[in-house]
Amino acid sequence: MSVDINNNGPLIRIEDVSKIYHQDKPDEVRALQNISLEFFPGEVVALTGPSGSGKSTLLSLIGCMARPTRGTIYLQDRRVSRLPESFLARIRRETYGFVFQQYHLLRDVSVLDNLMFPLYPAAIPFKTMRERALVLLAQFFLTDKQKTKVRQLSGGEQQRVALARALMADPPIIIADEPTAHLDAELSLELLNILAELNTEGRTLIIASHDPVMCQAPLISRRVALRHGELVDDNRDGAGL
Amino acid sequence: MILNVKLLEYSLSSLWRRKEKNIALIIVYALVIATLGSVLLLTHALKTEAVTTLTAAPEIVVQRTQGGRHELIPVTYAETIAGFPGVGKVTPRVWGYYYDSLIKANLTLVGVEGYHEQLELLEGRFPQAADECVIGAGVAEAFGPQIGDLLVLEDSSKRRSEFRVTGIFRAASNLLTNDLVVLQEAALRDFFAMPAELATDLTVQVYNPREVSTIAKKIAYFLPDSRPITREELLHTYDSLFNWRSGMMLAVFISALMAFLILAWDRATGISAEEKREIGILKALGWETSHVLGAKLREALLISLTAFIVGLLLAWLHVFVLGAPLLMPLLKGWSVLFPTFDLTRVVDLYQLAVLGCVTIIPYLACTLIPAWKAASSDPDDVMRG
Repeated sequence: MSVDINNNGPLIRIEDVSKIYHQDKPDEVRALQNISLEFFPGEVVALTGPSGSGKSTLLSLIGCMARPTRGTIYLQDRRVSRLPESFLARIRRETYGFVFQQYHLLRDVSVLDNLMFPLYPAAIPFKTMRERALVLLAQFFLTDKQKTKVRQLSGGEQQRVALARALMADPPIIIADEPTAHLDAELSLELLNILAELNTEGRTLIIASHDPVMCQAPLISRRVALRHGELVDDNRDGAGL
Repeated sequence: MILNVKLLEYSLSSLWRRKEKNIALIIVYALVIATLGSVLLLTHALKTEAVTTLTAAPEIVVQRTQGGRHELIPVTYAETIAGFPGVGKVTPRVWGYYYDSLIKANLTLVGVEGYHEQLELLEGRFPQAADECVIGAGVAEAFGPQIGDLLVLEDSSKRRSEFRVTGIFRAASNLLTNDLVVLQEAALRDFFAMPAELATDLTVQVYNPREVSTIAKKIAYFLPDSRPITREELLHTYDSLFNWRSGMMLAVFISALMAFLILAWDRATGISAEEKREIGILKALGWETSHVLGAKLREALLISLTAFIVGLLLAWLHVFVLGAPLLMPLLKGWSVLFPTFDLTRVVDLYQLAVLGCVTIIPYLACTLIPAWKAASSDPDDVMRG
């Protein structure tokens, strides 16, 4: 299931969503409480807030990587929060590109293979997968690293591999969790340029960050602030598409 | 099709990434299969040896017992039995055991009458004079004589007898002929000091196989001190004997299998953080639970089938090439098995299927259940650990 980016309605709608980890256990954590939000096509949204505010949890819920304890999530008009796992996997595959804070690359696997993993379940031949991966590697200046194992790359290179992997299935929505956390200022700016380019291509970006460089970037069209799992601000004064 | 190939490619690369651990696992797994496989192959080969041997045996062998022990049987009993309807030829046999202290082996000395129909010569001819003999291949190997050489045996009064070797035996199975020394009946009676009116036992030919048990009952009825043994009973005895022995062995080695499975279970349930993380990443990238399980199933199958094939090859080499040095003393027993003989190379596919089931399926379960547990969780949960 993919999304219609020409639809002017909300791309993602979150209604009164709460997420509680280890519910009714001594180590219960209320990560999100009664969040309601809408995200529109072409937006570049920064989810801000201190560590533990629930940014990563919200990204997981939006990206169908976790289910809310309460509330409903819609992807366009389809309620996805209670869909069976196989449908969610397909949505993740076709709709979202993820860039994780820890990159979550397979460290003992080559750069090229890491890029191809998102397309393994798709009915696409190896040759096509490889060609697509090589185009992205060239785009991210990683062609000469294609056979290098991820563990041998620098932090900046791993970040670019993670971004390239997120684009392998050509998803309309990119979700990035603290993408500048391990980057120096120069690499952060480089990443912002890449993200701006992705937005220009029509992709919606949802970025969790507490890095001021990222949150104050002109690229950002909207800032959503969280604190202790609650929505404290939703500011639409930025650029974006 | 494309998906299957891609999952297989992923499985192979995943196995290669953890090659040290997987090679160690395959070695242990293969050794367990080799151990169990050796018992099964050896048992089946020994049973087949026995069956092959007995195929040529007479329908009924009649012995005489006294006080519950085997005694020599009067030759006149043959005439009585021959008079029963349905009975063909009744042949008195003369045979006995000879222990040679030099080679520390039991030999079986038989009179050529009553045997030469069952046996096939390797080379040479049957004895035609009292000082001639034919020997089994094992005897030839142990003593070293060839056709034309002399074989020297000592009787119970330490009298030395010399026999010229006129032939060396072969049979469909080595089990029967390997330890044989065949003499003319008169020479054998002389060697064992056995009276002419007595024989060791009688062989009875029965025309209709369906009448064997009836005739055996008649023999026991009319000759109360006789003990008729049918070929079926002998087969059952061999079967029970080897089943019992192999059962004992399997009981011992099944514990090795259990230990392995417990290790496998421990390894699998304690699926490493790295593997969990990998499953979580794949799920986050859009792999479905079935894709993850498909890849893990392929990994487990590649490991278990490799170990199974390697284990079976090791078992084959151990049993049929090396002669099962680790198991033979436990399974073979005492009797005709000195000197050594080559086992017939036969494999029971049913046994192999059972071996495959008891070793492969539990391993697959041990591997797939925890993978399924990880793969069916939300990717966020798996990656958070």
